[in-house]
Amino acid sequence: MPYSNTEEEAFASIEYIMRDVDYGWVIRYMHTTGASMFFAVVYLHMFRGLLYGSYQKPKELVWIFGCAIYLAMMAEGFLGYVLPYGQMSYWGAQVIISLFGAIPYIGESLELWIRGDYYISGITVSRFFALHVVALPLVLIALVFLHLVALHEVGAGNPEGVDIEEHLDEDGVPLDSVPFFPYKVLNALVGIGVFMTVFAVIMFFFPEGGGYFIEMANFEEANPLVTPEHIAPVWYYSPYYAMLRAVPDKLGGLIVMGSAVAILFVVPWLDKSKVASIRYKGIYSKFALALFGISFLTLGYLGTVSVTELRKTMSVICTIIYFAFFLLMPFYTKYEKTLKVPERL
Amino acid sequence: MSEMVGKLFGWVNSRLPLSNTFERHLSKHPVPSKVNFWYLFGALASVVLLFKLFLEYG
Repeated sequence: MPYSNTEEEAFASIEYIMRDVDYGWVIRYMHTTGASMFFAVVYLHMFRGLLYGSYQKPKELVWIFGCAIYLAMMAEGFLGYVLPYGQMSYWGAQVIISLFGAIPYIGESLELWIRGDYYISGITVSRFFALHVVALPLVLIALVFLHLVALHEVGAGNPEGVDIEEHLDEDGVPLDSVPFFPYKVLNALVGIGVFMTVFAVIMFFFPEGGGYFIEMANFEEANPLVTPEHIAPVWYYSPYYAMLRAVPDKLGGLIVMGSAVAILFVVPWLDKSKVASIRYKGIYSKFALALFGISFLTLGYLGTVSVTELRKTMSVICTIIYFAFFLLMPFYTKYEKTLKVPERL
Repeated sequence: MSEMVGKLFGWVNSRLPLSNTFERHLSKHPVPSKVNFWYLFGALASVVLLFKLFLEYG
């Protein structure tokens, strides 16, 4: 393994992989592009869940395991981003780790415990490496396994929100179903082909993604004495970063950020609708979901740019909409007029 | 030769749920017959994860 998880060599070892190791650049760009694409497909996968009520009874656990996967991915991505020990690795870690310091009483000790040192150093890099390549991948594999086992137990949903278990043939197999293999596997291969093409184009031609996939400041080695002019996370964390900056108090920001992820876990109990799919839900749900989507994307943009008064106000408004979408869900899903779901798919 | 392989498979299969698992989770696992493109991204997420686990561990 040419990568070195030490303070002195981490940054140089990445450059060594990029320049001198045969096809090292392919492996690295595959990894960085893969990180962004992983988040991209997971965000679309999660939005599908909100669109078609994929969290509704009896799929609550499938959804909860999914949220846990998302949380583990965020941790995994953060740990990995620190490893090249560039400027953004260092200062990104500085921002995130110091957040834990805002927790009353235990904050400071917690910060020290995470870093393993009084400031971010080789010790931090070394433990983050262990967590990134062994501990969290194992957690992710276990959670994905549970996500799939739970899904196969209760059965996959569909865009109509029809319960296919209602109409079975003489063998007890749903009439509106096909076997996963080979039908869905071959079907998915077409999509996988398109996806791999997009993946390859990004990997070979736009690996930095205009500074959104690999940030420009990370091509400079970490320097504790020079703060970059503009600290921003990679695109897949930026909505939460915008929320963090929208709150003036550090602890308040941490609470808002944490709650934004935590609230996802309870969505199955916030949706009181009689129907699952957005196709048969009422106008309030459609309006709420559209507004939520726009706010989340806006927060994503705001988290990547520097703060101005106007942008700060926009962040506050979008954060309020983000939480309102979830907190008002029990009301607008209950009191809206829904359409009748068809019997068969 | 193939008879021996078949016998060996039979021996293992009656002690380990090989064909049972294949049928339960793949060849006989029922999935809705009509879904749209939004249902593709779960498969893509597993593809990326497999990439990361098998291709990038140099």
